[in-house]
Amino acid sequence: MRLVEDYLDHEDLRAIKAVYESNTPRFDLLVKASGLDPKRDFQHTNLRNLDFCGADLRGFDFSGSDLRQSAKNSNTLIDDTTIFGNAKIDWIDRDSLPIVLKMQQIEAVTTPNNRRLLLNELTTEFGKTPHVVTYMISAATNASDLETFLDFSGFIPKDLSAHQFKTLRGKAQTLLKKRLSRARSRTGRERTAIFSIDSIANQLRNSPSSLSEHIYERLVKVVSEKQHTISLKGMATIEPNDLTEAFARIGY
Amino acid sequence: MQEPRLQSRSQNPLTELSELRLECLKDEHVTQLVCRLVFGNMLFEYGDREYQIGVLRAHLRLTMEGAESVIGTAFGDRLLEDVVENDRLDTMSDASASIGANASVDASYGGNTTAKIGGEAKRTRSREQNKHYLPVEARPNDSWEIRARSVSGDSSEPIEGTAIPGATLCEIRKKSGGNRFAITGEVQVSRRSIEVKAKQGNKLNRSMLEWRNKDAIISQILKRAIARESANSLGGRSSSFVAISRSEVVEE
Repeated sequence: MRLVEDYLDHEDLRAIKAVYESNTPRFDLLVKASGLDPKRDFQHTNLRNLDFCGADLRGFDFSGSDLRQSAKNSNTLIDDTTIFGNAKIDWIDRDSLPIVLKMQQIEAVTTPNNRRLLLNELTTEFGKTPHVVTYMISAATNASDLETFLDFSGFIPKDLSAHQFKTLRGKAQTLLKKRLSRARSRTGRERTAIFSIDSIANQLRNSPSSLSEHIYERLVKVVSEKQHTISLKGMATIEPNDLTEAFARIGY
Repeated sequence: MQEPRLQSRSQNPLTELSELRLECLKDEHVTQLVCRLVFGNMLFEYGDREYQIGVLRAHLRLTMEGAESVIGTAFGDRLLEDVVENDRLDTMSDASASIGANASVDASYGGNTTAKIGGEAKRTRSREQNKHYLPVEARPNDSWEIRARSVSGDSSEPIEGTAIPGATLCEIRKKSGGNRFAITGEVQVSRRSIEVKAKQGNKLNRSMLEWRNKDAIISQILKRAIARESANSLGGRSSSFVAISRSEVVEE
């Protein structure tokens, strides 16, 4: 029995490595890195839902290929050397979809400050419409770390459906557990997790009228119910378990 | 004089993707061309990415020298489009009756076997097993089309399973005057029918946006490797079709 690896030669493996490790998603640059032939290797193939924004497609032969729902913009270079014979084309013009563009910019940023800035622009420019809220819930649900989740939750309104709360609660609990576990693993001590709490609490506190505020309200309630807080007459200390309990109360 | 022997040879270079085997069964009246045709998918992993390689649609084409098919005997002409083998067991008994007292077994030709156990009916238990084969349709000039089995009509799912389970593909008649007898069957797929899918779902998230173009390019590299392997083993045909399996029966 031969596996796919057995059919790949040295050049194929080099090309896959180059594409895998590439820092750019730009189509023409990835093709160049792969060593594929623009004149030959993109005929009769499925190229649906791709992003050709900014790509130089001069010299590409897409004969017989399916490019439906692929996106291009004013920076996409197409001229008479780009061949579309019998290709299926139904371009999404990114320039005419500013809201999608904005969402994609948000997805692409890597720093929290830029993300919050763009989220602010998104909600100011287009409002917290059902479309925008659905997008932000989806993005928060797909966040890979708690910081990103809290960036989105700072813009998600409090009035959500039970289902939306349930989805977000599950994700938030998973990410919090991961974050606390990572903090503990640095020193192997439970108390080290406390250092993470401060930044989480601050992020929750500074987002009025949002899901973050909703979580913060639950955190305040959890802390004020603690025997320790009562005995100290309101002097509160937040512990990792308090955050865990507050996150478990999202939507309740 | 020694009776010429019929030799079968099969080439299935993409071992996980398809298997075609042809054999001739000869009696004094007819020669049956028996075929086994099975499709599967290949998996390729690189880093944290996983790709599934399959075919969406395939054609089985026969080339005959010194022979021709007998009219009305082609597989797919006589059978329903989606062949189902049915194995059903009905048991009817009352609580006190000795099960099997009036047992009768009725086996009928055509893959349906029914075993019935009689008695006073107070409780009925039924077990039914169905075996589905891929839809195979006869096409003109000794060719057949195989598609994925799909309830929803979705044509984007790759073919997986048995298309022809060691059944008679057609009956063969020797042409008079020919001094060579050879039947070659080839499974051909269009380049667009070779489907490489990244198995990461299609949620709108940052990862998807980043990887959409990269996955498409890596898919092209994998397709190129498959087309090359096929051409090296089975010889090239055209720029738009790839042969993935071949089997021949020759008289020696």
